[in-house]
Amino acid sequence: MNQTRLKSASVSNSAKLTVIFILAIGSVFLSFFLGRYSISPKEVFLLVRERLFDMPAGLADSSATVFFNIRLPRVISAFLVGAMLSLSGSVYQSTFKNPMVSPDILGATAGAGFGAAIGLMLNAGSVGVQAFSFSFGLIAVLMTYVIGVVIGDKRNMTLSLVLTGLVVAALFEAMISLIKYMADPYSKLPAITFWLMGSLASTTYKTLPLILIPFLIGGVPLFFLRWKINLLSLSDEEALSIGVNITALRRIIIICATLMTSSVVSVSGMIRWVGLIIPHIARMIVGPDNKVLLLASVLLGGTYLLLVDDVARSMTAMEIPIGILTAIIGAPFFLYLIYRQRSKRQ
Amino acid sequence: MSFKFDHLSCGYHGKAVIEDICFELNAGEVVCILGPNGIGKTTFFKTAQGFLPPIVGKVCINGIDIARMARKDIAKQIAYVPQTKGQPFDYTVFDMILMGRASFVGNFSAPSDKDRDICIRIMEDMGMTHLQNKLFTEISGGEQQLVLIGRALVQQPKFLMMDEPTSNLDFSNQVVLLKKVNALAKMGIGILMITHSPDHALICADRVALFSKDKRVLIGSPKEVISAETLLTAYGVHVRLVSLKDDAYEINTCVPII
Repeated sequence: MNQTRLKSASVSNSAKLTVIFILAIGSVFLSFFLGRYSISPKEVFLLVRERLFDMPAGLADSSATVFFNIRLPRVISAFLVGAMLSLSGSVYQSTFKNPMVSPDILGATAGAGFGAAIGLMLNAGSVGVQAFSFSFGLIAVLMTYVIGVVIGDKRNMTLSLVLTGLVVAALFEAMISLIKYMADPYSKLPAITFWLMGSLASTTYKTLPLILIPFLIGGVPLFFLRWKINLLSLSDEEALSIGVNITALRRIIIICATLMTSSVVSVSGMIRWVGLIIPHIARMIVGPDNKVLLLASVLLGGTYLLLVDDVARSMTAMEIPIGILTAIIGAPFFLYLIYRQRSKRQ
Repeated sequence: MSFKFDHLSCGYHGKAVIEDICFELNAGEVVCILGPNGIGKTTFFKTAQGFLPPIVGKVCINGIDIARMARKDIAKQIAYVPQTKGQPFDYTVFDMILMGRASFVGNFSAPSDKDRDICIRIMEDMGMTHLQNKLFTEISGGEQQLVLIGRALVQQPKFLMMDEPTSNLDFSNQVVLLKKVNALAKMGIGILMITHSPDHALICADRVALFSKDKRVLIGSPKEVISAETLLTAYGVHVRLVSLKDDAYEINTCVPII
C-alpha cells in the first residue's frame, strides 16, 4: 500500500510535468503567429513545408524572411533565456538554502552589465560587447568565490558567499554608474542604458549558439546532479554526515549556473526577477524535490519569458524592453510571496 | 567494530577546549556525554565526525583514522542525528529520509528502488509510515526528531551520534526517544549521545563521559561517574542521588537541591 501511495505521488507529478510541457509547446506555436507582422497558423505550416520538402508555399518572400530569419531565432532565444535564468535560480536557491535568492546573488549580472558597458563604450561591436559581458560576469563570480573563501567563515560558507556577492555586485554597479557618467550622453549613454534594460531584440541565429552551448554545458551536469542538489539545502554538517562532498558539489553547481547566467546576460542584458519568481511557482506546483523541480523550472521559465516577450514585441508600435516588463510583473508577485510566507507561518 | 578516540584533544585554531579523550565505543553500547554548556561537547562531536581536525590524537573507525577516509565511507559507519531546526524548503518526510541514502547513490544518479525500499522498511519499523507524505516543516518537534533518526538509520550505520535528542521534546516524547535508543543498542548499534539530563544517562547509558571544567573527561559506568561530588565539580550544583528499589525495578535518580 505504501508503495502505491508513493507511486501515485510521483504519477501526479509526471501528470503535472506533462501539462507544463504541453503549455510550453503551445506557447511556442502561439509565439510564431504573434508580432507586428502577423503570420497565420496556415502560413507557418506552408512555410515549414516549403523549407523541408521544397514545396512552393506561394507566399510573399517577406513572410519567409520574417518567420525564419527573425521570429524563429527570437522565439528559441526567448525560451532558452527564460529556461536558463529560471534553472540557475532554482539551483542557486537550493545551494544557498534560501528560496529568496536569485541568479544575480554572486554578482554575475552586475559583472556582465559592467562588461557590456565597457564594450559599448569602446565600440566593440555586438560580438565584442557579448564577449566583454560574458567575461566580466564570470570574473565577478570568481571574485566573489575567491574573496568569500579567503576572508569568510569556513563553517558558514553560504552566508559568506552571499555577503561577498552583495559587495561585489555593489562594486560593479558603482562602476557601471561611473562609465555611464563618463559616456557620451548623445550616443553611448543611451546605448548603455537601453542595453541594461534588457531586451531580446538583438537575438539572431548568430547569437543562438552563445546561449545554446552554455545551456547544454551547464544544464546537462545539473540535470544529472538534480537529486544531489537537494542535499545542499540541509545544513553543511548534516550534508557532510550523510556522506556528501559539499565543496565539490557546490562548486560544480555554481560553475554551471554562473556559466548560464553570464551567457544569458551577455545576449539579452539584465532581465531580472525571472530567476527568482519562476522557481517559486515551479516549487508551488511540483514541490521542492529538485529531481522534478529542475525540469518544471526549465519549461515554466521558457514559457513565461516567451509570453512576456510576445507582449514586449507586439503590444505597442515600438518594442518595450523586456526587462522592464519582467520587473513590473515580478515586483508585485514577490510581495505576494512574502505575504504567503507570513500566512503560512501563522 | 569499534569507534575509538585516541588521546583526542579538540578545539578551534589550535586551542584545545577539551583534552585527552580516550575511550572506545563498542557495538550495542550507549555512551552518554554530560557536561555544562560551552564545555566542548559539541566541539568533540564535530571532531569525532571529522568536521574539525583534532588538535592532538586521532579518531579511528575499525582502526582506520577518519582523517584518511572519504566522507562517503564515514557515512556508512557513523550517522549523525542533529537537533531539529527549520528547513528552508518544504520537503516531505519521505524525501527527507531518502536523503540519508546519499552515500549509496552514484555520483550522477538518483536513489534506486532498493534505496526507497530500505526507507519504507525503516519507516515501518519506527511506526511512522503515516507521516511519509506530510511536510517535514509541518510535523511536531518530536516527530521531526524521529524523522531525523530515521534518516540516520537508512545510512545503515554501525554507530549513531545524537546531539541532545531530547532537548526539544515533551515528557512523553522523551520517553519514546529513550526507548528507541535502548532498542537500537539492542540491535547492535553503538550510540554516543549528548544529554543535559543525568537522569537520562542513568536510565539508558552503559557508560558516561562527564566533561568538566578542568578540560578533563571522566569516563566510567553511570554509577561511578554520576555522584554528588562529580556533578558539583562539573556543574556547580548540589545534587542528591536517590535510589528506589522494589521487587521489579531499581531506579536511580538525581535531584538538584535548591
